[in-house]
Amino acid sequence: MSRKRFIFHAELCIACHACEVACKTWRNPENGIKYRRIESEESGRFPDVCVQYRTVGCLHCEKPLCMKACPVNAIKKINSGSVIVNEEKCIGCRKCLNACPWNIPCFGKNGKMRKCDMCEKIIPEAMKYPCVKACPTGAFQIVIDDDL
Amino acid sequence: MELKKIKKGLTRDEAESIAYSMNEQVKASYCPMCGPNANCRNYVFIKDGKIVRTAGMREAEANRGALCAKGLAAAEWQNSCDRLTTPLLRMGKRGEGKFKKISWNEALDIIADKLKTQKEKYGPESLAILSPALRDYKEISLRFLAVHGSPNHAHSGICALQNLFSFFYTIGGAPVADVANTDLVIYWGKQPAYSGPSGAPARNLTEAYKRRARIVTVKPSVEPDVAMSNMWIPIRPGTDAALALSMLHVIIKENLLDHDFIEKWCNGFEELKEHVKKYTPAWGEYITGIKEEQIIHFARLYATTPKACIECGNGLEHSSNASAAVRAIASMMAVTGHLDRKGCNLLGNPRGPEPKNIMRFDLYTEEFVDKLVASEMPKAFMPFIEGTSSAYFKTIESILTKKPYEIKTLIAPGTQPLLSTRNPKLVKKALEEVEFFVTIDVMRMAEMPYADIVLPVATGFEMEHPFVMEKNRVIPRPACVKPLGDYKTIFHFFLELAERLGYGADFWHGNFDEFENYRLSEFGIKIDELRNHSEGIEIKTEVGNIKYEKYEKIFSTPNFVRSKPLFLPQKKVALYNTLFESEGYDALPVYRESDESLTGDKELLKRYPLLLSDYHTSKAYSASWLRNVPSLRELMPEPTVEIHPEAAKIRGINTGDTVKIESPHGWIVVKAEVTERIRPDTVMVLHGWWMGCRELGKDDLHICDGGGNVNNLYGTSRQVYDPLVTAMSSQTLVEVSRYE
Repeated sequence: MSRKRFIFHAELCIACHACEVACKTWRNPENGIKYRRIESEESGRFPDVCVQYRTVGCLHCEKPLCMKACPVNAIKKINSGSVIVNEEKCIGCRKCLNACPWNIPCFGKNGKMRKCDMCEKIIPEAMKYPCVKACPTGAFQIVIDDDL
Repeated sequence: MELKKIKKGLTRDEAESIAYSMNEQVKASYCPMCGPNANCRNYVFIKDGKIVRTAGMREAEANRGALCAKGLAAAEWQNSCDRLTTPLLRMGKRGEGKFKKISWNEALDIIADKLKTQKEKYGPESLAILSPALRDYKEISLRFLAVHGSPNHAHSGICALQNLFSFFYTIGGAPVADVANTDLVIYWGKQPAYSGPSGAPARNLTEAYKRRARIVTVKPSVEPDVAMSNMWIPIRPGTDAALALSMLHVIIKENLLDHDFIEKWCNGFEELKEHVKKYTPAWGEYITGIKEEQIIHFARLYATTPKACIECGNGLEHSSNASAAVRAIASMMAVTGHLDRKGCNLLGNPRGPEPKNIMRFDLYTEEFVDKLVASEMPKAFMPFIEGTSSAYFKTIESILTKKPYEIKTLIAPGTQPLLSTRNPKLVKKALEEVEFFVTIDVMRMAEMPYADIVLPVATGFEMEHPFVMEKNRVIPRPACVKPLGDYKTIFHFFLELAERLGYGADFWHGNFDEFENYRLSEFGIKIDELRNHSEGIEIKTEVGNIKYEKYEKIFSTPNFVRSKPLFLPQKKVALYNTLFESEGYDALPVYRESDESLTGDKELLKRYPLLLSDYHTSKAYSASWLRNVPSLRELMPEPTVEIHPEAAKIRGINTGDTVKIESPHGWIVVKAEVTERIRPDTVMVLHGWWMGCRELGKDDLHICDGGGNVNNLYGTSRQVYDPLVTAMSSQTLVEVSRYE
């Protein structure tokens, strides 16, 4: 069972992109790669138009489709709740990208899949979740169940 | 099961534990990424003498741990390959970009010699300093000018002062929206989500939303604050005065008034009542493009909600009707009884302790004011709260027209005249012709090739900067890292230049510590003591509770103009303004039609059928800065025009197409974004596109035709100016077409 999960209150998102840039500057993926981004979706016609903003990153699904699609078992769902990638094993076939409904997996210069790992690679506790810590409105949060 | 919630930002302990485990250093600092002092504080992490990343400081009053996209990208900005490294002296022709390295001493000597000679030959007023956005060096720059003898602080004409001027002369002060206690907040030409996302503006918006207060937004396109609002008033850019005047018509006609307040505290209600009869909601719809029913509904909603407030933004100031808009809005606040009451617009509440003011209001004599090359407000109303100011564009124009006289030296500290003001073609000519031109910045800038001297200044991260106030605390701003080049701070520039010009007695003999001690003298502390308190020193003062309905005091606010002791001579709200009338300006707010509008020149409209305006700020950039910061450039890689599907379809334009936008004054090339978020008759672009981003392989763009600089599209005829406050219109008519 998952110990931690992201929650997102879309109605409080002001599309300031702080989560996106915090992840970028704290996790340092190469230029062109992002583990998190802000997207918007509009519906209706002017002037009755409605716009929804959302932060988009790996959802760390309970049953990850990317994991199922990976031919070399490089993707794993671990006890903490995170879905992680073993870069050693990854062969860069991009089948995970085809399987993911949210278009999350990124591929850097070395061709390996990279994405949000819920800061599993980060050792200092205080350094984790820069995305959540930057959100000014509390729209984007992480819930951690400490009891398990 | 115990749920742990993650809080915003970092505490000092958390920051120190990170630094320890990463083998880094951490320092408390102050975020320099947007112009107006937002007062956000941060922790910066340093490895091998370089800043590697930043985080929001939870202990900070303004941002309470949050930090926006710009603040989080500060390390990339600080370490950018575009940083200037040394003072430069021009060797080639203007515009060629050939320089040689010189020392700071040489540079300051050259500037001082030039200013001395020019002061003798042409008078001190031949010097103009172009003003950046509200920055912390504004006061020292104004003091320098005042002591030198020039009133020509060239202010942009579109930022804060325009609104404040009309408010002060109508209701005696700046009305602060009491968003925290309101049932209805109106964001009018304001962007609370992007101008201060980590501070109070966005916090107030989301708190109001959570409280289920009603939110109304008045602007031409849907931005995040509109997405949160109950009602969107999709106004045609530049027509806010017409909306406010037709709302006043409804409010007065339907008698939704606070008669007691009007009786006791308003001057000229009968005249106003008569005046707004012609501004019917049907007329309002014709001008603003907002449905008549919506104007009526909006007017009723505001007038009949007892706790209602209005947040007026810079959007109101980008129009040739800026003063009429603000005067009409201020009048509306007054006649509906929404002034200085809980949940409404508050006036004149006590501020926290302030350092000793370094402005020299004592030097602003009538003779001094009379020397203004292009007075921003009429000379009869100078000085205003920021001293004397000349209109930015007109100041530059004087170099070419030589009227009323020629500016001989331009100093541009942290401002880019080719991007920041209208008509870059004319600005370019003026920069080629001006006798002496100095640019000062941390980063390479568009005007550099034209400068005689380029001065590189330090960021707040690499040299100590003057202390700041955070409510009751004095916060020091020590350096965190070693400077990347041969820098001084902008403060040292003014202090040391003043000393060379013989103004040492007024400038602490060029000594930064003495300058700081002077500012601190109000609190009885010394800079050496403050430096030992990285968390700041608390000033014990009695700040009284908020009091309401202080009309007697507010409407008697003393003026800075010697011949006019009060802003409101009747000690009442100036619905009918006798001061303006006596100087030949409109006694009541009047809407003036401009040729370049959808209801203006019909012939022009045939060739250019769409109304264009621009955004002043964005989630990624501050004005024309920060385009070179990779993490920010990735958010908004290219200049883009927002265009409605109807307008796009008949022009065969799809999202992502490269399009040409042509106005009667010039053309630019941008990408199209087809969206329902904008009025079908309006297109919007972002201001300030020029700089490339080398890390992402993006080249610099042209500044004039063919680039992305929206100022190339606007006119500069007399008609674009507000007659009272010299605000410049950000509207013109355009045609948009596919560009192959």
